[in-house]
Amino acid sequence: MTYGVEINGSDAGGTFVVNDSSKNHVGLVVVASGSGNTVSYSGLSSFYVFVNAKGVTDATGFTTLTGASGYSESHAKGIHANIANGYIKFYSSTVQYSSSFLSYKTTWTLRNVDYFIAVPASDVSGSYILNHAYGLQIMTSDGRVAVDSRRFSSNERCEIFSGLQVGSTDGSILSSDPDLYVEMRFGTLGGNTAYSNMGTMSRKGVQFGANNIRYFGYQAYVNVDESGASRGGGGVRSIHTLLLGDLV
Amino acid sequence: MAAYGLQIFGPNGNEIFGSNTRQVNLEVSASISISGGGSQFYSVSDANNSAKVQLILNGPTARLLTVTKTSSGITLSNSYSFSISADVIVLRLA
Repeated sequence: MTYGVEINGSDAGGTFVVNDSSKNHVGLVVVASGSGNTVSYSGLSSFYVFVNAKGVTDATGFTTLTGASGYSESHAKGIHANIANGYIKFYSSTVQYSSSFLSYKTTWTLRNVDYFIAVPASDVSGSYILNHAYGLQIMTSDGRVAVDSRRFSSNERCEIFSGLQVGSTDGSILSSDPDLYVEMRFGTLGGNTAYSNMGTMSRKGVQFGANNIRYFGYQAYVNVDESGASRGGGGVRSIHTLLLGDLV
Repeated sequence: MAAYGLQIFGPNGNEIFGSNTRQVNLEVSASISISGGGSQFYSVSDANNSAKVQLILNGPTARLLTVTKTSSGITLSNSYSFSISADVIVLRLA
């Protein structure tokens, strides 16, 4: 490198890059962690939300519904995040069917989960920055904050591991380690919370079982033709990469 | 306390950054649209080592892109006739 700061490290696992300003590396900073069902993200423009819900009610398993012709259909229970209006909320969801509406809906229930929020150092702002004027700061060549000791306010850092690639199918296993966290900023969807005539309902989320973590994506729909109403469904591929992470 | 190198401690004394802590770094963050038959290359060392580099693709049709990883970078290719849009994030894990 011809300029800047390059920090290399080593541990029992080998050597690694800590930061390299010539590559415009921007470090991820853990700004919050804990257990709860609602977290503010006020002031954060870019962030990743990692969740673990092992042992949480309706974080795994299936709801079984009986169709009009007596067949049985299964809808995964699981956890999803809803991010809006300055708050991240964590829910489980279960599915109901109404023959009156010829439609499905889900019921979302707030659940306490374990979580942490990681933010690129350049996007840490406001109260997440320690209020003093000393420390170490590394800037990228394009003027972003790569590292700033004032932005390490939570006393924690994270590691990220392979997860599931975009396009993964319903039921794909993220990990056989049930204690890891799954990133939920992207890729989860709770489904409609009210019946709508002839609605198609897609749900995407994560199941936290005792022995593994898996993605679920399922679409349920109702068709009406000359022979009457019929119900159907099928797996929905993920449209986001799902990452695994952990606090260190 | 490490015998050498850089260390930064958090408010309660935890070592939170330094030459013996593994860090996650954002290396690429972009929203792209690749036209039919086109491709996009990102220079990322050790991109074919998932312990060192993770690629995140987000988007309704992102799964249609062909991803080729080598030790020098990542190529996203669109073999279809239509454009494909995606958010691309590359994380450096080590």
